[in-house]
Order: sequence, then C-alpha cells, then structure tokens
Amino acid sequence: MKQRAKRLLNDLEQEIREHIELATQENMDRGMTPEDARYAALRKFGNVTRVKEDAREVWSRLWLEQLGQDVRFALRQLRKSPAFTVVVMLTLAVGIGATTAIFSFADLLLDHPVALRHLDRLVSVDETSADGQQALLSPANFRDIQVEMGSLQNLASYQEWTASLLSANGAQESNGVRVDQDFFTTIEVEPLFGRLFFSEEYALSKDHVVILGYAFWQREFAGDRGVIGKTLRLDGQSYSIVGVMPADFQFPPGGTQLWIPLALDNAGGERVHGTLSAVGLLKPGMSLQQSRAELSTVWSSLQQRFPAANQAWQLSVVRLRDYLVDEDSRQFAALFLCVAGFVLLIACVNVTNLQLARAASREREVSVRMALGAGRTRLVRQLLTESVVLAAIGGVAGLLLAIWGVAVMRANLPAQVREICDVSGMQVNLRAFVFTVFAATASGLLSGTIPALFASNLNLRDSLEAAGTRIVGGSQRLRRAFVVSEVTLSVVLLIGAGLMVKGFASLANRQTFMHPDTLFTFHLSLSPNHYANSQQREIFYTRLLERLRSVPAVTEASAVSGLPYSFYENDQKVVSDQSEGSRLGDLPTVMQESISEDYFRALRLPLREGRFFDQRDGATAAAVGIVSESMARRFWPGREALGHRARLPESDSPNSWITIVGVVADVRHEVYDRSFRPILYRPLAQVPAPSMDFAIRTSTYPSGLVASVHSIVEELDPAQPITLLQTMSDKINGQASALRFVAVLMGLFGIVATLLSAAGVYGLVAYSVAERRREIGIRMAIGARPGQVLVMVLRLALFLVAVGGAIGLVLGFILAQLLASFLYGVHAWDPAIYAAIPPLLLIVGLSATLIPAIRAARVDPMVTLRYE
Amino acid sequence: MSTREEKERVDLLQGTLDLLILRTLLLGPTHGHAIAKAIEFRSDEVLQVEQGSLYPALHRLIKRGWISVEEGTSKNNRRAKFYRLTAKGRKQLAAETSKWEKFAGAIARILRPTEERE
Repeated sequence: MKQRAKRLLNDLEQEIREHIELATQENMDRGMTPEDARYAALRKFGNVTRVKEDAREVWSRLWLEQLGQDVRFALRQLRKSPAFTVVVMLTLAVGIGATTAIFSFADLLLDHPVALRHLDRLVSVDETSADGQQALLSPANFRDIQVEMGSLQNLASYQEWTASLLSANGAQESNGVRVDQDFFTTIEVEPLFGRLFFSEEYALSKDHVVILGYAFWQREFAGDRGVIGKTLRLDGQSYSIVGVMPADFQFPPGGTQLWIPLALDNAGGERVHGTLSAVGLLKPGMSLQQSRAELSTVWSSLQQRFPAANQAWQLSVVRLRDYLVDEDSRQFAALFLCVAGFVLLIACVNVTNLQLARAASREREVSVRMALGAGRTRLVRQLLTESVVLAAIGGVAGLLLAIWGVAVMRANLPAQVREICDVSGMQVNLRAFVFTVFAATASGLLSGTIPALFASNLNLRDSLEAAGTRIVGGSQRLRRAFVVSEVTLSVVLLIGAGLMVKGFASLANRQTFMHPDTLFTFHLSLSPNHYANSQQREIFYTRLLERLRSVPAVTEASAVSGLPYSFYENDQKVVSDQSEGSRLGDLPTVMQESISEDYFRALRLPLREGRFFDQRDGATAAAVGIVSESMARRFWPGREALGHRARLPESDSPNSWITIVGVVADVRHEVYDRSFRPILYRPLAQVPAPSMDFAIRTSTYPSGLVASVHSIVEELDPAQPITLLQTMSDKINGQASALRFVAVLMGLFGIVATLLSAAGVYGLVAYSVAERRREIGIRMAIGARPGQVLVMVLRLALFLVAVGGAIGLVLGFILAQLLASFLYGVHAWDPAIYAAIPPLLLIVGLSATLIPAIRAARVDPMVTLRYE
Repeated sequence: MSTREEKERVDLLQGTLDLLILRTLLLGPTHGHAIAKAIEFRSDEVLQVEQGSLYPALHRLIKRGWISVEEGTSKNNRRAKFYRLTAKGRKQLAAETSKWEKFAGAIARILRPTEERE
C-alpha cells in the first residue's frame, strides 16, 4: 500500500510533464505557436505544486505529518526563548516531582502500609475503654468472638514477641511474633520456600518451629536454601526452621523477622487480661459497618455473660491499615498532602502566568501569521502543541525528580514510620503522577492558546498596528493577581516551615541540663526463662551496676525501667491518702518508674525536697517512693508531699502504702509530650522490672565504653543480649527524627515555594519590561534617567510582593493556629518567624527583579524607537 | 469566510469529478490526459475541468480501490500510466449514477415550474 503510494507519487511529476506535453502538442496541432500552446496547456492544467500536494495529501495521514511539523516548530520556538522555557520546565518539574513524591508517601501511609493481598478487607479487632484506651483481646473473648462471628471469613490472633538470639555474632535481640492457626490463611501469604506450620504444631510441646523473614535469612544464613531443618537458638531453646518468607512480607510491620506458633492451651481460659492482637478478613461483599454492627451484638452478649471482665470495655473493629498507622501519622500525612497541594497550586499559577505573559508578547506574531493566511484551528493547534511539548518535557523531568525523591525518602524515613509501615513497598504512585501532570499543565495548556483564540476575533490591522495592546491591558491585571497569590501561598508555607524548623531546633536543645552527650544508655530485657523471680532480677541488676561503676571514666551507673525518650509507657491509677474512697475511674493516672539509687544523679535531675533512695530502701524495707513535682502538685496541692502516702488501687493490704520520701524536678519524658508527666519513682530493689534501661554518666567521651559494656554483660550472662547502646543525644535525636523529617520536608517545600514565586515575579517583570520597551525608550528619550527607570520597575515588583506578603502573613497566622497540633517546642504565634518574613521577601523580590530592572534601565531610546 | 466558500465549491466539484472519471473509464483503460480530454469532449466542452485536479482525484480513486493503475504505452509510443476501472469501481459507478440521476431529477423538478411561470 505504502509502496504503491510512493511509486505513484514519484511518477506523478513525470506523468504531469507528459500531460502538459500532450496538451501543448494538441494546441500546436490547432495552429498555436509553440509558446502560446505551452502557456495555454499550463493554464489549463493549473497549479502543479498544488496538484502534487493534493495528491500527497490523499495518501498521507495529514494530521500526523502536521503534528510532527508542529512539534518541530514548537521546539524551535521554545529554543528561541530559553529563559521562559527553562523557568516553565523547572516549575513543572518541581511541582510535578515534589507533589508526586509526597502523594506517593501519603499513599503508602494512608492506603497500603503493608503489602498484603486483601488489605482492603482486613480489619483489626481489639478492646477499647470508654476513654479511648486500646487494649489487647483476652484469649477467652477472642475464642468466643471467633465462634460467633458471621461477618468475618477468618479471625486470627498474634502476639508480638522479642527473642534473644545466640549466634556467632554474640547475643542479640530479634523481633518476632507468635501466630495462631488462622494467621497465615487470614492474611493470605505463602512462604518463599519451605512450609507453613502444621496444625499439630500449634500445641505447647510441638511448637518449637520457626519461619524466618527474608532479611533475617539473608543476614544470618547468607541466603542459603539448605536452611530448612536447621536449628535456631532463641531464648535458650532450640527451634527448627521450617520455612522462609518472601522479601516483601512484613507483618506485623516494624521489623518482624521470626514467626512461631502461638499455643493457647494453658492461657485459653483467661478473660480479664488481654494478650492477643487480632486480625480478621471480612467476607467478600461485607462492609466494615455491617461487620461492626454484627460484632457489637456478639460483644453485648459477652458483656452480659461476663460483666466483671467486659463491662468497662467496648469491642473496636477498624480497618487494619488505620490500626497500623496511628492518628498522628495520618494527620502528618494529611498535612504533607496540603503542603504538596500548595506547591502544586503555586506551580500551576506560575506556569499559567508565564504562558499568559508570553501569549501577550506573541500577539503580534499570531496576527502576522493570520494575516498571511494561517487558519485559526491550525494556529490553536500549533500553540497547543507548544504547551504540550513543554508539559511533556516538564512531566518527564518531574517523573525523574519524583523517582529520586521517593528513593531519598525511602532511605530517610524516620524510625517511627518504619515501625508502622513497610517502607520498602513505597513506589512512585502513577495515579498521583498522572493527576499532578494533568493539574500542573491543564491551566498552562489553556493559557498558552489564548493568543490564537483572541486573535481570531481581533481586527488584524488593529492588532498589527497596536501590537495587541487590548489583551495585554486586560491580562496584566490578572497576571499581577497571580503573582500576588503566589507570594501569598509561599509566605503561608514559609510560616509553616519556619514554625516546624524552629520547633525541632528548640526540642533538640531542650535537655541541655541533662548533658546528653556524656550519658550512655542501653536496654536489657531479662528472659523470663532464666530470671523467673524478682530476687534473681535484682541480684543481676545490682551486680551489673557494680561492674559498670568500676569502669574508668564512669562517674555514675544507674538503671531505670524506662528512660526519657525511649517511648516508655507504664501508666497506673494511683490512690493517695487524700483521694481514698474515690471511684477507680476518677483516679488520676501517673507513670511508675523503678530506679536505682544513682538515677537522679546520673541524669542531673535536681532534688526539690526530702531525699534520694539509698541503702535503707531494700526489698524488705518499708515501701517508699519519690514523686515528680507535677505529681506532688496534682496529689497534694498546696501541701508538702513529703510523708504523705499513696498506693496502687488493686493492692489494698495495709503494708502496700508507699510513703513519699522525696520530690524531684520534672523531666520531659518524650519528645511529643506537651506537658510534664506526673511520675512516681520506686526503688529498684522493691520493684525490679523484667526489662531495664541503663544510664551511665562518664566524665569524658571514652572510646572503649561500648566494648566494656558488652564484655561486662557477657561475663555475667553470655546469653543475655543488650540493645540500643547509644548516648542520650542519639536517643533524643532518634525520637525527634520524625519531627526532623517533617521539619526538613516543610523547609524544603518552603524554599521550593519561594523559588517558584521568585520565578513568577521574575517572569512578570521581565515580560512587562519587554512589552514596555517602547514606552521606556520614549521616557528616556524625553529625559528619564536610567536610575528612575530602575526604580519604576522595582517599585512595581516590590509592590506586588508586599501585597502578597501582607496577605500571606495574615493568612499564615490564621492557618498556623490550625497547625498547633503539629507543633512541638514552639508556639503558633512565635513572633520571630513572622518578623523574618518581610526582610526575606524583600531579598527575594529584589533578586528576582534586579536583572529585568537593569535591562530596562539600559534600554537605548534610539534603538527602541527605530525598532518599533 | 471566503476560504470556506471556496472549499465548498471544490468539494462539490470533487465528487462530480470522481463520477466523471469512473464513467470515462467504463469505456476502457486510458491515461490521464485522455481522461481529461474525454470529459471535456463528451460534455461538449461545457465542463471545464482544471486538468491538474484530475491527478489527486485519480489517486483518491486508487486508494479506495475503484480503479487500478498499470504501466502501458500511449498511441505515440510513449510510456504512460493507464487507469482501469475495477469491479468495485463499476459497482460504485452504478450506485453513484443512480444517485446522481435522482439528484439531478429532483433539482430539475424544482426548477421547472419557475420557468413555466415566466
């Protein structure tokens, strides 16, 4: 077909020549002179070129050919105005790239925190108290729900568990989970190789089998497939390896690498104490609401049958992804989406604005081309092609940026995020990419074709003469409004970013009294198999502390059940001698901590009243406690706390009363605490917790400390792993890493937004200078000095920036109040942030305007006048 | 506006030209110049075809499969392209002719009474 067309077209010229020769011959036969004959033949034939084109058109898919022309033309046009092209492309790339990356992150957090097949149908079931406290399900309740449920296809339970693993690298801790029979069928996962557990292995005597995570298998066995049947020593017991999970399987998220069977035989009857997490699979077609309604009737009957255990609790059924990703993280994700939306909006405005400006300056070109006979649709198509080419280049650059951004985020996401979702599953979200490309370019596309649309309605001569002043006048106001709104948006973002960054910086500096650089910490969990009773635990801790104190450069060695900045929770209802007889629900909650004698000295926490714990406060001595200032104020307002008594409500024997012997300063316990927690400290000897944090104060920064700690613990118990060996500074920074991530991201977006609006200001000023060359030339010809022209241009730009800045400051102040729940360590009205905006804007405005302003001041009146 | 009018006129001519070419080729395969001449001659030189427009029309008909093209030798021993009506073209000609006759008849009926009144 194509071949034939080509031959026909190739032969056409010859054919036409023959035709004309024949006609000429005939004319000559009729008696014309050769010259007249040829002329008449040619006239009769018509336009040869046109005929050839028409014939070609018959065969070619014309629009495709014209598209190619348009694209080539567009590229040529874009090359002719490199500044415009580069600015628009960068704007598109940054807008599309940044927004897509953030969308991808939010999508991970909000939509698929773990890679499970039927994530949409998976729900989490737990017990919730009236005040919203979540608790695990008790085994008996779990069994009953499992029997009676109708809306769930499966319901499985699991129990997170930490095992100490003895391997060639010494003792170490590994995250694992005990899973019941229904676990793997509920979440629908198959091992990479090996097998799942047999049903008889979910029994106490046969449950020493383990399935490994991919990463663990790679690390400990170097990916050896012969690992099946080998033995793993966990908590001093042998487990036989039966399978290895695929690399993308991570459930529960947060580094689970070992799965072992959960045998419920002996604890099956327990109804009061919750020990199980539960995950259920909705039946196909069943909605969450339906399932909630159904399970709540099941729960009501359980409440009626077992009021003592269940009356105070409600059953809560939530989507698994909402259960995994806590409310705070979701809110931060939503905040990011807002911020990304702002940046996208700025990018849109910027592109539209630049297109409008360019359109205005091209009106003349368009008029000329129309005067020369270009069709309106053809012109619109050509301008549209130019916009699409820009969008395509910007989109590709944006995609690359998004890929890079996602990779950077994947590597730098804070630990808190890694614990709640499977970060390795984070990818560039193509839906988000398509959406942002569309959003970022749609407005630009339309505005790019404006000159052609308008030009068709223009009187050609008018517009040729006046170089299109009509549209310019109208759209300039719009363009100025655009620039103002860009500046407004970026000021709002800058305020948000400033608050976040300042908050993070102040948090990081807050605990200086603690001298966190010379406070070494580590964590140690005693295995219940080896240290069954409190006496054994206390002996171990005492010996360990003694050995640690003997290390050179160590001034104090102390232990505490949960150090500040370790996400420690141990909330207890406490009765005081003042509040005796109150209902359990009305009692205040405090945090209880077991500490060794040196703890306050090691942390540099000052004593306010009374005394520290000492030798007197042994295991058999009278129960004593030290309270924090907040607790003292809360329990004994306006009174000395010393000598007063408090106790836990469950134990009401006469000798369970704790006598307060001291009051210490408050300490901010976690980065995210907005107020001081009331804390009740107890002597380690009286309450030896199964796992402790150790805090060692050193006089210098000793290089061998880490090795010494390891060898001391190994001497005491070679099977005892220690974790989290780090300074207090590292601990604080680690916990604040999520805030740092937020602050860095917000800061980046603030900078991007500012740069984009600077580009917007630059574009506006540069184009308006270009348009006003003639006017400026005339002004200079009649005596304006370059300085005056410079000021004139600067004044316009700075006026727009000032207006946008003022609106932005007001709007930013209002929005910052909404941001309050995201802010730590800084107030939403922090004056330093707001005060920093105007000078910053002045600098940005000046630098964006200076080049076009200088260009304006250098306009040579003679050249401009002659040119026009 | 003027471009649109011109275009419409060309469109009208195009359709008609196709019909005339097909009708001409019914008498046997021949080359481009001969087709042009035949159309002029057979219409008693009323229809003045711009001869060049013949060629795009021929290409169009080839593309639709109504005519085919072959190499041949003209009367004065020159190499030339001969166009031949295909079976498909024959059917098309029949259809187009009856359509045209209906059309012309209708136009004629509309035009006749006016003439009579005058």
